[in-house]
Amino acid sequence: MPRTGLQEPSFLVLTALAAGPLHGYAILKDVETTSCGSVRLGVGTLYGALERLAERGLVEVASEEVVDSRLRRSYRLTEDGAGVLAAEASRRQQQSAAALARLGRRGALGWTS
Amino acid sequence: MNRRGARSSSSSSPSSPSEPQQASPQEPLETSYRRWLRLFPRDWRRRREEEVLAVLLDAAAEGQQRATSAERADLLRAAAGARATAGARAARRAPGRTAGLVVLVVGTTLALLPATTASTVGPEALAAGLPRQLPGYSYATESVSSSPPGTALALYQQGYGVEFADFPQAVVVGAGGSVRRLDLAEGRGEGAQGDPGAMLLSPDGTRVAVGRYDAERADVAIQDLRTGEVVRSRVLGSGAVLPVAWSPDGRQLVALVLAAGFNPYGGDGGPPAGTPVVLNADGSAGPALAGAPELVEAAEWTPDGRSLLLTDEAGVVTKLGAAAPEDGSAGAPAAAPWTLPFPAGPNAWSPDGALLATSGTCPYRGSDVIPPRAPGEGITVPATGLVLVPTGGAASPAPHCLPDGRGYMAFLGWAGARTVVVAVSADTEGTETDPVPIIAVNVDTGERTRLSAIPTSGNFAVSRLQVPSAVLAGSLQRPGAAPTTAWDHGRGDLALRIAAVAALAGGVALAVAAAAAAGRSAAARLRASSSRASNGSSTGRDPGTT
Repeated sequence: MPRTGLQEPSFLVLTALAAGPLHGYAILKDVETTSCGSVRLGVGTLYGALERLAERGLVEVASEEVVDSRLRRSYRLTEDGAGVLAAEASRRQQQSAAALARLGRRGALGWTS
Repeated sequence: MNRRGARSSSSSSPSSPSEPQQASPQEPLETSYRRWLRLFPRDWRRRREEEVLAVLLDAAAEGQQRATSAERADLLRAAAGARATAGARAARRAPGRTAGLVVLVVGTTLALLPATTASTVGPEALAAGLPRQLPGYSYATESVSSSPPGTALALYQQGYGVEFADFPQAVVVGAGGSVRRLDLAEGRGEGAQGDPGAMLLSPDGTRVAVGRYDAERADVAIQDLRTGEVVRSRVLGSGAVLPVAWSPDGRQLVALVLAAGFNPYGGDGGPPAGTPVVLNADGSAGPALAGAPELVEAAEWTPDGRSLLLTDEAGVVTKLGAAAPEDGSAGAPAAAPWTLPFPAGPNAWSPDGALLATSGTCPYRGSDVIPPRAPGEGITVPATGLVLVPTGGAASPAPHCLPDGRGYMAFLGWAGARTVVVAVSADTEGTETDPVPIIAVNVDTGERTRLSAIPTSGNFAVSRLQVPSAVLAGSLQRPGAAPTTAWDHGRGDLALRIAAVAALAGGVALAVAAAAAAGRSAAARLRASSSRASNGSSTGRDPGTT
């Protein structure tokens, strides 16, 4: 039974892997791109998240290869992982919608409802 | 990307991280990363080290030689997390034994973990000016490298000479209230009797350049105070390299390369002369200075940043048109050489370029009352002080003068076109001030405004104070208006923290040993007394019963 509630790095990593298997460096780049450069994960943070996600069975190793005599592992989303990501994404969407709606009612940003 | 030698294996295969080839010697960057990866638990390293190393190397900047401070902080945090997880697993297996280990690991991690990076403070914070009082000396101040303070309001040295537990500190005060020691300068103090190395704060307060007083391979290191990142120039010479002038836009830096080491306490009189070189803020070589004198003693940018003024040993000033940093072309002499007195500091030109602050002898004027050294001596003694020389040539009015009597006044910069700022560490009577006031003086009216002060506790003299001119200007607008913050000194010095943890661990070990010894001797006493008791009772009973 997958728990809900994801820390920010975990959410970003799952989002990156939703498009398909990626290796560590590609995940970093993808997070940077999808956040328009505003989020840069540290390598240590990335692997902390990957360890936690693997432990919860949300991601798994997709392949291992050696490139330029260096080990490279790719990861992919498991079915559980896809479920948790979907749940988390819709939770965030609902929260954002609620926030925007309230701001709109108060006219804080000059919006009309 | 070069994929030669790639092989794939399926995810289900438990196969092996390949052995990394060790044929070629490790690059310094790899060595640096491996050192930080040693912080992780053994089990984690077996599973992850090669993979994570590859990602770190992929993500590293071109030409990077060492793990950056951001990477180090990130790896430290991740290692602490991995150890906590590993500890939790071990605790489930062997709860009793792990408890003690956990105490030690948590303590050590707390001690070593860098504090979170100071929040970034934009340039607008500089305009708020200086708080009423700047921080005094503290033993428990963390370093810039482990916890960057953000954009700086001020940089200064506290204390002279190493004595028992006191040592001179280079202190950066961040606009967000963080106080940090500039470990980069403190680590480059060779030849300076324990003082920090030659350091120069950029005009926007975001970077510090630190040279070398005496090093085989002398270079300039530039630290970004917002990120802690350090870049180094190429080796510029063997001896001393002194950063002397940032361009007003903070994009370029002039350093003097001396032929030999330089002792700031050498006392052979006169400032050191060296070959001027231009560096970019990223440490790369700037444009060559064509037409520059071979040896110069001072370099000053004009306030508009368009020209560089180089003063040679004879006091002749050569003005070079600054080259556009983009095209890398050489600067060209822009005017015939002329002579000016020696500038008082790196920001000696007034914002409109009309006045040059110099240290010198004040010519006596009726309005400059020079305090008497002894009765009757007051009028005839020419005072040393700050002389503000018009740069317009012979037609310009006589210099303004701020005599300091027997005191000591350090020039800080300009807070406006006609307002100069000084720090007064000894008053006109020669008495050391505590705190050291930072005072703005209007050169026309003589009006003085106290902007801030730095406590010395009578023991930690303040020197080499540098304040960005935007901060000086902001302070003059609202003197003392910036709130005196509760200074954040971070988690303290790393060495002190390690010592504290070691002392704590030693204390715990001693207590445990003492408790064990006490237990043993108590048991021994108990055995002895019980045997004595049984003996006694047997012998005592005899007379009573007979």
